[in-house]
Amino acid sequence: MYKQFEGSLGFLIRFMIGVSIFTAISGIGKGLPVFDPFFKPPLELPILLLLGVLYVVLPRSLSFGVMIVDIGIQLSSHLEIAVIVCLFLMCILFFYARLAPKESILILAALAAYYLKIPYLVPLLAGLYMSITSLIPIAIGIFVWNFIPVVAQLMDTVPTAGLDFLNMPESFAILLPQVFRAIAANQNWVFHSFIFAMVLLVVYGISRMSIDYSKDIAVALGALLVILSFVIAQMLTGIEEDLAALSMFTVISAIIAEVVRFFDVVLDYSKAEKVEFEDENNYYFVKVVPKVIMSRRSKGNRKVREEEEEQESALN
Amino acid sequence: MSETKSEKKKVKAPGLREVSGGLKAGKKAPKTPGVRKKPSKARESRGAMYDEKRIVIMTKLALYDKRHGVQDRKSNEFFRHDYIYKKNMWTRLCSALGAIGILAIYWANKLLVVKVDILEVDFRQEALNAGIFVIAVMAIYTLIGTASAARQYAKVQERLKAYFNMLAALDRIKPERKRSPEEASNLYYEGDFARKRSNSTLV
Repeated sequence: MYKQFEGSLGFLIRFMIGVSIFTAISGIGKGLPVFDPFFKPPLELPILLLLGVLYVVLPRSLSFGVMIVDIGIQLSSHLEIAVIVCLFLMCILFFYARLAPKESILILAALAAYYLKIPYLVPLLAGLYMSITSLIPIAIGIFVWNFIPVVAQLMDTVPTAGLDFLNMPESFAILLPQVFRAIAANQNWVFHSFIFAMVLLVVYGISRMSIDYSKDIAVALGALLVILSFVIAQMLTGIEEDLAALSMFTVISAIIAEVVRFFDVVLDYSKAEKVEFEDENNYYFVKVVPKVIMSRRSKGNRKVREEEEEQESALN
Repeated sequence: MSETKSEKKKVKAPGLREVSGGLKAGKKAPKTPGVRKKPSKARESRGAMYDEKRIVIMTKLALYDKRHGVQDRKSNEFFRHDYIYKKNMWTRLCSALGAIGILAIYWANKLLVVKVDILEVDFRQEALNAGIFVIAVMAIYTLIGTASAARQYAKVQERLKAYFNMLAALDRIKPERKRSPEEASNLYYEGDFARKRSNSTLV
């Protein structure tokens, strides 16, 4: 049924993701009074829906640009912080998200996972389905999540010059050292990034081995590594982590990763497609459903499979 | 006078040889030269409707067209060098803008926090340093962009090569087509010197 309505369902899902992202952004701060009519009823809903449509229609780099502009507007009550945050996000867009638009979605995924308290799901799924270079967007997502409370605190404590541009250099002079001090003081994101990087590498390596149940073993070992790493990090560095909650959410993340992997292998909906073509005599309506991936140890069809895989991989 | 049934049975069609002693039960009739066996209904229907190999190849071609075809054809309009140059143009521009943003924060810190006297700044040296920084960032990202674009272009070429190989394979599999008797009779223009052709209208 999903395949029947794939086009419209895909549009709807991406539209809802876009609306969720912009709804989350609209609650992060307070904008200038000039922008208030656009983010309060009755214009709030149409603007959100328009932003959701823009997220679907625009290429990923441009939709990140729209998000950055929206964040800038939401923080515009404190112009100095808005400028610094937007500059930082533009640097991420120009230096990374443009070159790797598919992997940069992990930045948003990491933020969403942290919000739902299951951040350990991100390296597990990234190790199963993406490449090693997805370390970078995960680290960026962890950094951004750790600095959202810092930005909120700075907005409350540091005075702003508002629209008085003549006094803005003074407020920048107060703000910039506090930002650099906050970056130097907060080391948690470094440990989190390092642990998630190790988990991603382990899951990536084991899931691509030629053993039975390699992906299940990878998920299990990845989850175990998360718990062990945080225990060791707490003992060595003294970072504060609630180990009981960490273990519980790691297990939940592993279960979710297993469910995703199960549906991916058994049903393979993402690869089932419908194509239409014609020749001089007939019209063809063909539904292509790939076979369930066999265990790599079965020798029976190895030659046939190798030939087919070569052909398929060249076309894909 | 009307013929009886038994008399009708004795009339044999010309061209068919009568086997001496008749057929024994359970034995098949021997093959008569020039007589072709009529194909079964299933084979006939399959041959008229579709060829499985063609469908598999055409399906793979359609899948490729759906997934990558449009983008690959656009990319293939460029030579490798031009494709990489076009992709790198935006990469260089964006990396230059990012480097300028970093320089803006650096200079804001220097002027507003460290409070360097603007009159004592060696503008030429600082401009040179800034220029070197921006060019270095652009160079690094040009290298990264070149590697990425070259890999993408190689994949496009590989897919297109596989696509054209499949088209050639499709051309080699010609569909069976039923010909009308007029078309079939017009096919052979040479004489049947070896006397192997059967022109029997009964077959």
